Amino acid sequence: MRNTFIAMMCTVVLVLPVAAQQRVDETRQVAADAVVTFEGVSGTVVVSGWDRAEVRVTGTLGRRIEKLEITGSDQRLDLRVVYPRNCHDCGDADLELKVPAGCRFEAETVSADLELGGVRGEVWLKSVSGRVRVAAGGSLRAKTVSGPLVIRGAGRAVNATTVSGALSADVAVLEDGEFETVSGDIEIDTDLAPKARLEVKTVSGSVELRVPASVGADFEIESFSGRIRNQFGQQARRSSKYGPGYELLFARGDGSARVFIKTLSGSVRLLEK
Amino acid sequence: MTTCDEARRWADDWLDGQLSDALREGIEAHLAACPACRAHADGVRSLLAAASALPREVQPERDLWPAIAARVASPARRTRRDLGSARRWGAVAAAAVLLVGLTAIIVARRARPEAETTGVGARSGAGAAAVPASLPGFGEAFAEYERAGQALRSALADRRGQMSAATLREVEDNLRIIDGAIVSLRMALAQNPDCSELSTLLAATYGHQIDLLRTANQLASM
Repeated sequence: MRNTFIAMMCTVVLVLPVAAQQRVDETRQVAADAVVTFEGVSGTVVVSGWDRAEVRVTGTLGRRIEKLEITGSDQRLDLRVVYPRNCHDCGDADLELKVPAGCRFEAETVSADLELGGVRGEVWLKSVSGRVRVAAGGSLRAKTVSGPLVIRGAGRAVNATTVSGALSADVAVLEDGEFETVSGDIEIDTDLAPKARLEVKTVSGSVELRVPASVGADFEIESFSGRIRNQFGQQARRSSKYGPGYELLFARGDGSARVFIKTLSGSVRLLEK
Repeated sequence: MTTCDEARRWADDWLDGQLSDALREGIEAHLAACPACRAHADGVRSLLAAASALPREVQPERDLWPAIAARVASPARRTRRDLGSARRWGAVAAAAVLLVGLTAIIVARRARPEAETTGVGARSGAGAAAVPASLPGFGEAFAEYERAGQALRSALADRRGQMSAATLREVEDNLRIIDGAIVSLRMALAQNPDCSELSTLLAATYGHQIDLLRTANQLASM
């Protein structure tokens, strides 16, 4: 009898949190190239592109979250997790979104982790402290404050920014890349298309750029007090007779792409992949 | 063969006459044959002309950031006191958004790396001769950033209790990182006042500061 009672209590305790959550399963028809936006605070959001002209959202909402608001038309669909005003511990929204692969997708979160893959249209992601991981085929703009930003196999145009979050990009070929942090370290592994432009800026983060030996680019690397190391041979020299600045300027191959790297105190490593 | 993407990516540099001969010729041939890219280049030209003609002081309009303003002014969730604060925040945010946009354009154009004009690789070893930071405007631009930052900090101070402790900690930690970076950059600039690269980094860092403060205020108004 006592064992049965304990078993019942355990069941209640285990089931209660689940019961307190709200289940979400919503589908909307949209155009294949629609704009889809998401706004949330905490939890996890996993977005994947599919070949249907519809958006499907599944998952759970925390106990005190009001609802998932879905508004818009077949051209633009806005998804927003609605919280009571001044609610600081409302629970997480853990959601999975399926969106048309050709859509333009935008998401903004506070601490929620964002993961996105399979979207060929433009992608715009923003988070404060959430971890952002992207594997998309279209052009990408992503921004975090302290959350790490990981880009894998994104499209040919990438604009990525953090304050202190680490920034890592492994992109097959870049045509237009802008990477910027204040203190976050930056790692980029890529090849550069002819006439590509790659600009990397950080105040105190370290920069590691890995490109193939066959790259055709004109490099301009400058640091005020950080060390510059170049596996391609040419070494940095002082940019001023009086100041502590260093610069490394050289070209490889046809030099049609251009690479600019600027730091204040962050070290720069240029490596051959 | 220059593509539309390339023509648009380099439009700004082309208008400034900062491209190598090969790039310039490719883009001009493309623009001659592509009305859409020609329209884009005309748009960039107009924007740059408008930016250079801007007055030193700009009074922001109330409706520069309509989405934020609409949210903070939502009557169902606001008291009269909140509304006053929201209007003030809306105006501050609008001013900051306008300021950051304009200052970014001006600083970027004053500090942009000078491109080679004699062919691929010509810049190597020659030193990327940059526009001196002592050109008029940097000081004013940074002072504007400081003023916008102070206004946003003040607005945030009134609302910090409305943010979760964790988010507030993230914001404050990262503001400290940015403030430290600004101090370091200013010290470096004091040693090298003509270094336009430092000015560019400083402007970018101020941009991060304004952006973070704007985001924080936005979160506090949710």
